[in-house]
Amino acid sequence: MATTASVKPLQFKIIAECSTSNARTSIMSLPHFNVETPVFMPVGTKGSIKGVLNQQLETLNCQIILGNTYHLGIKPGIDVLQKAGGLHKFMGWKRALLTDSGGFQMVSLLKFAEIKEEGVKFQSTYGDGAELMLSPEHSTKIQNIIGADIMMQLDDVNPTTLTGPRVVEAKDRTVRWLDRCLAAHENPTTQNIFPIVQGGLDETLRKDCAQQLTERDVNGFAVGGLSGGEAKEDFWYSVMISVNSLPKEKPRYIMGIGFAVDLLICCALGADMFDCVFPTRTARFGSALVRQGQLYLKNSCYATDGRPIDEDCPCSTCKRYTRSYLHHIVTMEPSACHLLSVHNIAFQMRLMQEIRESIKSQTFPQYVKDYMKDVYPEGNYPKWTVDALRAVNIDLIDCNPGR
Amino acid sequence: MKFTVTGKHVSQMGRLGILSEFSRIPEAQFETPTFMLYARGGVVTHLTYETLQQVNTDSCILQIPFPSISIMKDAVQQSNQQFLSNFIGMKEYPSYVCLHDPLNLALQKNKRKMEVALKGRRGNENHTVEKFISSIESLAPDMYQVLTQLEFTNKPKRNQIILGRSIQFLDNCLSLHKKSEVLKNTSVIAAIQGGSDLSLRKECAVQCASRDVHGFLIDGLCPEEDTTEDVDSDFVKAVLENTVPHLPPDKYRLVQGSWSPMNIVTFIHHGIDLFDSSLPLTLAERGCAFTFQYVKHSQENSSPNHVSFTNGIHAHHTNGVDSDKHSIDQAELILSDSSDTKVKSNGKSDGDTLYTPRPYEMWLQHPRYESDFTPVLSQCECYTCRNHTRAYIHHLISVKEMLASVLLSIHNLHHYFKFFKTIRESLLSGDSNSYTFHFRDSEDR
Repeated sequence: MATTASVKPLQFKIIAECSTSNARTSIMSLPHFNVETPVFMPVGTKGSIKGVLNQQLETLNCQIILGNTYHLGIKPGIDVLQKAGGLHKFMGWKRALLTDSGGFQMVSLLKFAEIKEEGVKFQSTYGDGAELMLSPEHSTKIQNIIGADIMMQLDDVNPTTLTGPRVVEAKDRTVRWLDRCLAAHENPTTQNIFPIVQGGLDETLRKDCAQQLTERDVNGFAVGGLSGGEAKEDFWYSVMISVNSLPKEKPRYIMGIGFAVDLLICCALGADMFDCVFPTRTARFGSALVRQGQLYLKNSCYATDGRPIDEDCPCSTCKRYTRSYLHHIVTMEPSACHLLSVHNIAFQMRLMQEIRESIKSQTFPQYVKDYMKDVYPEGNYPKWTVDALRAVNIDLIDCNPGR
Repeated sequence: MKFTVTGKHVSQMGRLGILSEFSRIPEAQFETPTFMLYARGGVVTHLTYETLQQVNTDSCILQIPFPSISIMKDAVQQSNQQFLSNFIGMKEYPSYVCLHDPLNLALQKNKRKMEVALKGRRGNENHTVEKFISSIESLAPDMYQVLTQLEFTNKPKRNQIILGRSIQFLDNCLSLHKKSEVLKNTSVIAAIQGGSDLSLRKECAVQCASRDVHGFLIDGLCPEEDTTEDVDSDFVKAVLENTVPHLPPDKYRLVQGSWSPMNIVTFIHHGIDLFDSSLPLTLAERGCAFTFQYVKHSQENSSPNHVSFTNGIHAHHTNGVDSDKHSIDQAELILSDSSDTKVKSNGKSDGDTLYTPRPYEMWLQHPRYESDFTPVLSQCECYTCRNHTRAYIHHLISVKEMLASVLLSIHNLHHYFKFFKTIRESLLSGDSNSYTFHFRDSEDR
């Protein structure tokens, strides 16, 4: 049990706190890397990040990346991962890793899954007809073999907008499953288990869930069940409720968040860690991230645009390639996808770096305002962003007296 | 651009040379024999400028198929980049525009005598000499192949007609080229055709040799790009012996396509200077890594399973020392029966049926690599071998992750550079016959 561990596999040291909002920047020391937070974690579902070399990820300042337990458990499978000595060695990645529990597939692959108190029964999506029983114990065992710095408890996930008794059941079951995960955990000195706050969009349920989870001996927390099509008003409010119910001195991870504005607001609300497939997925469709949103490079307006994607971006793509050339190769050449993946990851990494720096220099509120002004030059901020930021004392409207 | 022959093989036609004095990048210099990087659409397939640097090599000439970039001509011209290489973000690399994609010939029926139908990204396009040279002027590459019709036929009359047109295309291209201010520093490459008709090959070579071009492409050697690897070396030799001697010795010669490493050596021994990277890419895309060694023969590397390969002929050596003419002749006899039947391996690797790797490659999708935590080649210094295992690449292939092709491209290109370096050393040593191929056992591929 984790209680007997003499050395914690996670030290969380807050470096600076925003004096206006709840934003903070910290060093999260993990067995494989000292991660600066707030941090964005690119997703390497099957043990690689879409055509990008580990060395490039290091150059891009990626400090922690995600692996997916469900997929890795099927291929290469736990036998191979065990023989390899874990995912770090298997994929040659020296920095920190986080694995999900496989629980998310309950939502994304629901038609293949059956949820019981014992666990989740999956049909393999690899077409081999195999069945996989994912119990809290089994998820923990696989994650112990994968050996990520941070493991996720198996949680009972619902579609975000669901209401009623099933949400209550899922919240309570999530707490029960946490205890089973902690009991099954074999490496409490080298790996962390993060519990996951559930409770749908119900404030009382979320608070209750967070309350129960904080009673367990864990080194950090995740907030789950969001970013699944709920109204933005419900999204930010649930994040705030959840974060405020969690202890300040431990990291808080909001799962499945990747849009720049969402990241800014979650940071303002006091969150520390984020992940999303969005930057690399959108790259495959020829879309490049910029402050103002996305450039869909296939669009004919870029055919003779001799500028880089972003003149201020230091990434290897922007140093060499123009929008015009990228326009001609996106969705045609696999290399174009790699070029956009690199840029899009660089974009996320730079955003997080700037957020961290602004918190250190006590300029975070102004940074948020400037950023939002770039995204919405007309000042037509969505109501939820105004409300969310106002809840942490950042007033978007005030900086636009002309309105 | 200048080509200088720096060394000649004593007994054979093989030679060493240097390509230099590119007007756009005067400092660039390339030792030949070497190969160009296949860059469909202007980008080395699966790689980017950044990942290409992991191949650990000097600069290189990019070979860009015309149909993959003709669509960019307006963009290049309207940009302030001036040259194709700058436009594609590869300014340090000279660009050579070839007419056909060596990995996708996509031959179209030519409807008019003096037009060439090419399948571009917007469908079929008919190119007259005027239209083609105008496109080349817009693209501004450092080297290009002239417009010509390419057709594979066994009819002697048809071959004769094609050849006549080919010379006409050449002359028409050259007359426009000479008038062009933009192309005054651009190298022109003529295509030597003639199919499998050796006398036509010779005639074409003689005709092209008298024209003011900078280099020659030995074209139309294989009608199906996916069988190039298994083409019989006797045919290759016969064509070269009827072509190369008629070409001026101070100009460079190219062969394109995914030829086996053994045929590459044959080509080089017959005086070819430039190749492309079709083969390393072809292997990467079928989940294979180069594993062959091409080394100087000596006592210590004689292992029981080692196979010697000289001028395209397999010969099992019993003591690993001899490679004299006699044993080669014997090997030639043994192989003569099967020389006509192409070793057509199962090129598709669709799960159930196991692919039979060729001797120079390792098929990493084979189940035996599932838990093999060694590098592809233990002595290899490439990024892939320094950082990753066979098991990891096996996994990436089986879950169809794009990183598999990236890692295999890096290894295969690195290996191919080393192969060409060794070939140049062998020519320099003046004793290239003592260099042989070593292959892995078939159960270790």
